Amino acid sequence: MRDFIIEPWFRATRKTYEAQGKRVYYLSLEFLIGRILGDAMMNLGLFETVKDVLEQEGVSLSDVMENEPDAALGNGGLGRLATCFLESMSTLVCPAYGYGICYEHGLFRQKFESGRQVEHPEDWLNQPHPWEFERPEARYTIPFKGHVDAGFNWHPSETVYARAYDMPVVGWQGKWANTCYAYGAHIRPSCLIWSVSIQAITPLPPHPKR
Amino acid sequence: MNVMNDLSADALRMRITQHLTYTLGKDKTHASLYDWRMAVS
Repeated sequence: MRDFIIEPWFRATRKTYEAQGKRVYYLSLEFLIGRILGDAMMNLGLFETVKDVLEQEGVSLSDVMENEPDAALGNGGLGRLATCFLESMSTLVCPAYGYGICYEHGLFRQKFESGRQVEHPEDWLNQPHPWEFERPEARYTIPFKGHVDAGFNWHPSETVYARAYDMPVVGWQGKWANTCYAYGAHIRPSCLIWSVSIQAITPLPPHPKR
Repeated sequence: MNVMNDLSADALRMRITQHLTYTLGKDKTHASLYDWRMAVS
């Protein structure tokens, strides 16, 4: 399915830049894209054809769709609305870009054991996500922590990399596809080594009660 | 003809089978649901 989305995606991007018109930039902490396979097949009008092809191979399309993990990029209303807007704008051939966060462990799996909630890690990215395109060249350094000096200048003590993952969002009948940029956090290897080295050579501070 | 324009059942079957074989390294006999999903996706 992804192959069939690429062409309208490229075409949409080219037309958008050629037109130099206004674009929508939708920033959201969540994009609850959910399971994409069924949505893509419906939008491309290929649902029944794929179902028939798989049936002839002795494979159930509903089982295949059930196998897709739900992308844990949001909790509910806010993220679902953001994704619906992107998809609707693709259907309406409105150039739009979504900017969000590619959470790796943003949610947890809730289970109840002996009447108590037990949280288990969400692992949807343990297997390849076929709908995203990693863009290692689009990498930004994000500083955080640290302190602010007397002149109100911020001196961050740690940094992580934000790396872009592009996801095409195709509209109804596959005429147009907008892009959702989800940024994932990656630790800087040098930062990790430096942190370990500092801890190894710095003596522990005295206990405050002694 | 642009192969991307061919949305017939035969063309889709060929493309899915090709993905299964050459991208995922599986044949139909040993393909799991995960393999089929990735091939269709």
